[in-house]
Amino acid sequence: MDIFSRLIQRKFRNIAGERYEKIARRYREFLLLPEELVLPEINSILIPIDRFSGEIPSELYETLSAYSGASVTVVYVSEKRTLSLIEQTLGKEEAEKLRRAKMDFAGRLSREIASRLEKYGLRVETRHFLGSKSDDVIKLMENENFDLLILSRSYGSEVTRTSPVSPVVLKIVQHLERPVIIY
Amino acid sequence: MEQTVIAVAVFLFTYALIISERVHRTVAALFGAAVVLFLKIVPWEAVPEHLDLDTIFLLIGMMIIVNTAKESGLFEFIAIKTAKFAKGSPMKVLLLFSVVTAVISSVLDNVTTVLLLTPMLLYITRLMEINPIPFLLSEVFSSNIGGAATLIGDPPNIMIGSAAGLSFNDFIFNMGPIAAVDLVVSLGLIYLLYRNVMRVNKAKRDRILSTIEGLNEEEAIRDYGLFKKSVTVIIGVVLLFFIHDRLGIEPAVVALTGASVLLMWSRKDPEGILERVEWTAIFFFIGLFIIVGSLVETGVIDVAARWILGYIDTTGEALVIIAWFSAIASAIVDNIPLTAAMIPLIKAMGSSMNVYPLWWALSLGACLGGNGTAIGASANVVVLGIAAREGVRITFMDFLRVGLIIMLTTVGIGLGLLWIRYIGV
Repeated sequence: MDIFSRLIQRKFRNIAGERYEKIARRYREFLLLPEELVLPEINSILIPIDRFSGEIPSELYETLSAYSGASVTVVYVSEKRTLSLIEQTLGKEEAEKLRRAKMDFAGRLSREIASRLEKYGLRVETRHFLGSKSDDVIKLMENENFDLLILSRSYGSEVTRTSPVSPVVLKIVQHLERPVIIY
Repeated sequence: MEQTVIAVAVFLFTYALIISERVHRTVAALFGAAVVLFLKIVPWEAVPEHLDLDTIFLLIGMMIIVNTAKESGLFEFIAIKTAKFAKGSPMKVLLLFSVVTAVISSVLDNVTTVLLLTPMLLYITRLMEINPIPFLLSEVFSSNIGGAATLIGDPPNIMIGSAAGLSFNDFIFNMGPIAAVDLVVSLGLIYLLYRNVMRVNKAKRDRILSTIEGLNEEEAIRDYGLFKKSVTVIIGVVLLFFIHDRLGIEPAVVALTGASVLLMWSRKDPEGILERVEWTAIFFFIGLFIIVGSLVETGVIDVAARWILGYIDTTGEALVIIAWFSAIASAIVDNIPLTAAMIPLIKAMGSSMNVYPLWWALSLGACLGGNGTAIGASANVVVLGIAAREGVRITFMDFLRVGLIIMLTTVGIGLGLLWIRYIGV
């Protein structure tokens, strides 16, 4: 029977193979895939931020309102290596000054985002620490079992026209198998 | 004598290549045509006589219309609308998609129809989590049956109409009722054969309904202006087909007029549209016409006709033999080469009997015989090919088991109706 299967496939390729590829692509634009039909259950969300992240767009807050009742952890991560470099070049005092300034900024930014999220019925916890912007986020996602990660495309570094997504973001998403929203 | 042997050998070799699809069927047909032209079996001056320009231009015209209309998202719109009307009921999905496929196939070509409707059908059956095979088979049968109903529904009908000078209304009057009855019967048979797999519980049905209701048919429309213009031109062309014989214009002229009006009105890039005309199909026809022309030139067709007439005395006998022969043959060979070979044969039989009913027997057999096997018609191959790519395996034997029943029943019913009309009870 394989002869017939091969014959049907040959005939299909000759009659409509390429035309079908185009039509299938077109259908995929507006038909949901079966796995997309199943809404993942989201109870805990992690939002890492830093000074590059920029403002969270209002559309994202509206999207998050669909998960009302979920807990959100807003984490501000300062790069430990940057502070070590400053300590080595400018001294301990300057490094400590910078750390304090960063922590103040982190606190302000986290509180601002938290208050907006709470308006949408979400329970919010804020944290800030020194560490690795990529590795610590990956560890947090794995160790604390967050259901969803939300990242700015400029988290970790500024973006350019040629690289519209920060390499830190790319590294994180490559290591995770959980849903991620990039804004 | 030598030329006769070569013509028959080229004909058989080409048809064998077409059946096996070892090389593209267009390449096989063009190669065969080149051989008979090179050996002067068909003299160059006689080529225009054998090329059926009515068929070729009618196909080109309709391909331009379909390719332009397709750009608007018209077919996806129809598919989503049909899915919504079915309201999550498997039986309604089967019924509505079959009827819509038959209606569209009666006006546009079967391959385009099934290419555009099958992805939607697979999507719905996936949502319903039920076996898609009865739905896909029903779509195939409906497409072939719908195509049999009109002059422009299936290439064999275009060829028969052109060769015998039959009008659009002749086809509607003779083949339309047969197609309508056969469609109902084939749907009934599919239901009887697969009724156990067409059940979904209330909860699942509600979930399917809410997902399908969430689809927005407006999103499928890429160009609203083109959508309206395409619908207007298609309706206009179909209306013109109804009166083309009264106006004294050929069906090919109607199709070319519709195509040029749509191109002019839509301002679409003609290069892009003309590139998408299926030139391989057009050249396939050109090659076949020349190969069959070589059989006419060498007198093979006349000899075959005389041989057949030696065994057939009445139109009734010829009606039965042509219908069943073309049905069984087109379940094995593609129905286009079969029709190309049968047309001159029936023409040659015209000297000794009334061949008018025989054209309908040929149309019946060529169009509905394709339902018999998985390789009998292009629509079958396309639906099975799509299904395979989407992970649904329908084997040759799976198809044959149902296809043969459908073919024997629908051809039998059609033949019965033709017999009552032309031979009498």
